[in-house]
Amino acid sequence: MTLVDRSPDLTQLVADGYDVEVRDGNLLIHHAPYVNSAGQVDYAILVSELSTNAERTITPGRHEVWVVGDVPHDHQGSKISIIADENRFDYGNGLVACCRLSGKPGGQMPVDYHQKISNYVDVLGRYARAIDPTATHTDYPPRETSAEESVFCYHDSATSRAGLSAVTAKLKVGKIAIVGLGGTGSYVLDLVAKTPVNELHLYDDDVLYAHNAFRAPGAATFDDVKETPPKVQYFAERYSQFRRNIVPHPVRVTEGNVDELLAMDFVFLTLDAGPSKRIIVERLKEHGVAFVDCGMGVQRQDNSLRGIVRVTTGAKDHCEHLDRRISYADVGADEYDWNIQTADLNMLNAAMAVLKWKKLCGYYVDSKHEYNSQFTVARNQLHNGEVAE
Amino acid sequence: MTDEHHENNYKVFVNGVEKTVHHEVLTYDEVVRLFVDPPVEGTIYAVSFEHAEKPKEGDLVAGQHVTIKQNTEFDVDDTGRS
Repeated sequence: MTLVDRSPDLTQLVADGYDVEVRDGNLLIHHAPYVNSAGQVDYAILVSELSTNAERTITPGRHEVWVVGDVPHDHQGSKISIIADENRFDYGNGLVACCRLSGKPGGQMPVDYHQKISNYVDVLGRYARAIDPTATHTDYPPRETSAEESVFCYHDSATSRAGLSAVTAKLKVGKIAIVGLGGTGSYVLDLVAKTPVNELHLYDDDVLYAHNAFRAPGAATFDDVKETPPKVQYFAERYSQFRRNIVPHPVRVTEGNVDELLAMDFVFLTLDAGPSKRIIVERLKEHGVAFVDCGMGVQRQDNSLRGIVRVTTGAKDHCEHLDRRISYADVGADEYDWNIQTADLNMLNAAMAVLKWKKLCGYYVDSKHEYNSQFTVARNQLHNGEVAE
Repeated sequence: MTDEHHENNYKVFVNGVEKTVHHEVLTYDEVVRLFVDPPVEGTIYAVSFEHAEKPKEGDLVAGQHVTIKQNTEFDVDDTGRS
């Protein structure tokens, strides 16, 4: 949880489509439209002091903001009336304000930062829209974020633009583990990396081979696969370009370390059937840690393929079905198992698993409450099993 | 061959392969064995079907059965890969 998450006024600003940043104890609003001294619509950064009680914001200590940009004008070329002074103020690291604005909403001190900021942005924006009716604070460009601000390396504008901040907030869980970074696990990572989960823990003791790259999201280079890096290292590095807090564990989960998973809020089991899976499922079940187990099988029929993609969910009070749904027999030892997997079925399996996790979080409506779901490719049949009463 | 005997032949498909069975109620075990006999020790198979008599479509786990009709289609797989 960041200061923004903990402060209803700042959260409301994000929900209203503002690009909000907390930097060095100040509140920055990026991309506020205004009219510059040349009479053109431009975008300024507004800087405000930020009063907090360490936990969240309190009533603003001052009513002014500073403008990083040009001195704001109206649409007819006059400086706007609320400019208090034009003293340069240097915040450091290239952030330099050119003037200070002083305005009070309705003549009163602002009650919170939402009122304070939206009032200034409204005043400046009104003149900008007299010139360009489309000028808005909501269509801001990508911006790098700080670790304090976000798990993402740059701001997620899609969520705030769609007004989905409150829905997406349900996915702000602490820790998620993905056990197995094969085809399905790597696609689970691809999807979960784009949610605001705080920490993602990746477990796999295998290295990345060329054939893995053909069943993984993105496009590994020849140099990537030539070096055969540990899978978790490759994926952690690749996805760290996008988000923070991806923790690689280049190990197999065994009796010796399975308890690490008990610290997780949710676990994705994307490893082949085998004795390891039984150890993990038993322990998660015992401690009520919710998880989704993924599994697929593809078979050859003449020169075409058919198969089944399965997702089985275990949660507190929903464990009774696990033993009749999840197989622990070692597929690696099965001579009839050719280990055929295809990227699209891995991806589908991953999407089904992530979708179910999001339902358990309340992100999607779940009016079915199925704990087993399987898709049969040839007959295009999706069947809900283990439907809770 | 009597008419009665003839009626006890059912053509079904298991993973696309045509099979003939001689009774109309098939258990999970029987369906799995139409795919692999004997089944791999300890393996749980995912079984799905449609065009059956009752229920019309669905899945089967150990201990369950389905009433089939001509051309009921099954898919069976260990779904053990990730």
